[in-house]
Amino acid sequence: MEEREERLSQERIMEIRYRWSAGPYLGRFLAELRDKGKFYVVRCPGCERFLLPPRIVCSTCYTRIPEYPDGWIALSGRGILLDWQRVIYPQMDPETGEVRDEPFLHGTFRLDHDLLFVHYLGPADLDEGRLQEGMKVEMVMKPQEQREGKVTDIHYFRIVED
Amino acid sequence: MAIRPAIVGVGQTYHRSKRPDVNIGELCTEAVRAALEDAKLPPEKIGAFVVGNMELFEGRYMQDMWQTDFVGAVGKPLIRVTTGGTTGGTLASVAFEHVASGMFDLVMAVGFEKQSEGDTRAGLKTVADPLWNRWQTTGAIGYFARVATFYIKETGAPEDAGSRVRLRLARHAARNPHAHLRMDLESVDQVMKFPYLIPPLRQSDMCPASEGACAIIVASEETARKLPRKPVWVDDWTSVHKEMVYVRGGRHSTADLEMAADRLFRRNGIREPMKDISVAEIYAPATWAELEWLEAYGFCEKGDAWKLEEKGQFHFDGPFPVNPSGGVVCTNPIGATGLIRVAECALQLRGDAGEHQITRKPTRGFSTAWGGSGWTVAHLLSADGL
Ligand SMILES: [Zn+2]
Repeated sequence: MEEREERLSQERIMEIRYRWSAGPYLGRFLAELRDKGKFYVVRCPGCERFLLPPRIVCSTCYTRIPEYPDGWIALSGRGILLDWQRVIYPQMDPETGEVRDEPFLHGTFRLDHDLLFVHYLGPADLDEGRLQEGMKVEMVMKPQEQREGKVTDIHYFRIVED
Repeated sequence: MAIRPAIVGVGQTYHRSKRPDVNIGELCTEAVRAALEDAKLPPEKIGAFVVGNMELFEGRYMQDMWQTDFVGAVGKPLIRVTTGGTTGGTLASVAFEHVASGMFDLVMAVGFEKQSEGDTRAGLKTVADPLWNRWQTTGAIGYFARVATFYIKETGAPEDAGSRVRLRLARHAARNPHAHLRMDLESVDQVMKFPYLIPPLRQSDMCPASEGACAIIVASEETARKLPRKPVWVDDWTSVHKEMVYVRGGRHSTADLEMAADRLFRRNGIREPMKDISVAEIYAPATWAELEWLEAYGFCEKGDAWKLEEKGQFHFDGPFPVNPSGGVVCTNPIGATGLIRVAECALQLRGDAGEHQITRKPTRGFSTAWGGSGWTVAHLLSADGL
């Protein structure tokens, strides 16, 4: 019998704990979303563009952005569907590392002030065949007791019939 | 530029999805030895080293510490560079800068990746802000599905345009002994049978996860002229960092690609890029990106790349060869990938690319690296005696 050379390797699974600070800008955004279901953006006093999410500095004009509530504006939560992607191959959930086998829909929405935002398009039994660019959408929050101060406190965006 | 740098030696390993026969250090020695042999230089002549790979992928802190022994850098200056997808391109740029500064005469850059040792998808997903949009990242596949969708929508390209690119790259890779995916693809119909990942992006449109390493040796003009290999001159290089993408969706921007190429072409008097440049080795991880980016670099008008592809213009023996090596879609050891673009351009300009040598007279070469959703590194090289 032919002798085979062993190619030794070793496996470990390492669980690592992280805890990230949100800071006063994104932290306030997430807290307002969780507590009041309000979706804030902030206007740069330097170049007047809107920043989503709010952050300490405008990256193009380097103006310092004021903290809440100066120049902070709550959006209506309504918008227009621009496009959508059906993710059909098994995806690793970046939050857990687990593989999610079921397909899901991501939509791109044009919110107030022409701001773009990507989130789930729902609900789960949504008929994809009916979707059309330009349909009106609206933000659907999770029930208060399920909110965690995360962007996913928004459950999904749903189509609003005219 | 004070000192003119030249590439005087290149080396690559062969590429596979797994190299269980070697560890990381051993993998690097293969590329280092090949580069030294190519330059006909003993290891002690190298004055400084630049090494790199992806952060997180193989799960080792201070990879440069592990690499020092295996690239021959003990007791010598060494810097680790890790700029994500552009790592290999930045490795070359930093080696050029070491020589251009006048501080070093001979510098070696070494890039590698051994993706099977960790989890590339997990590593890549940590690119997004964990407090904002990491939960929704679909990685490179989501990004390039979007590139494909917009390319079709905006240029009227047919759904098989990406498959035509893959067919060209497969033919090139089949001629390149260092390429990873050397598949025998014969027709567009055959490529169109690959399954969708996210429509209209197919499995055949995306790069593989490869293991391998690449090394180049850079010399000052004075030293390069004394060495046996025909030097490949480094005319210019640059990098462009775009604003961080907080909000995905909508039309992705190609501003970084446009700015990088425009800056190099302007500074070097290149007015007709397809005429003035004879070979391009561009870092495009998906077929559709190759089409979109050739337009973004200014090689052709917006919406023309897929038509030129249909006419076979980008083949290695065609009028404007693009990725004669088989490109990133056939070989992607991420931390080495950008460096391979530079090495392959150098081989073409020396006339040493073998089976995949371009038939057009090699004059100038353009190589790029790309990463994240908006960093570009670009280099302009030229053949000796031009
Ligand atoms: Zn501003």
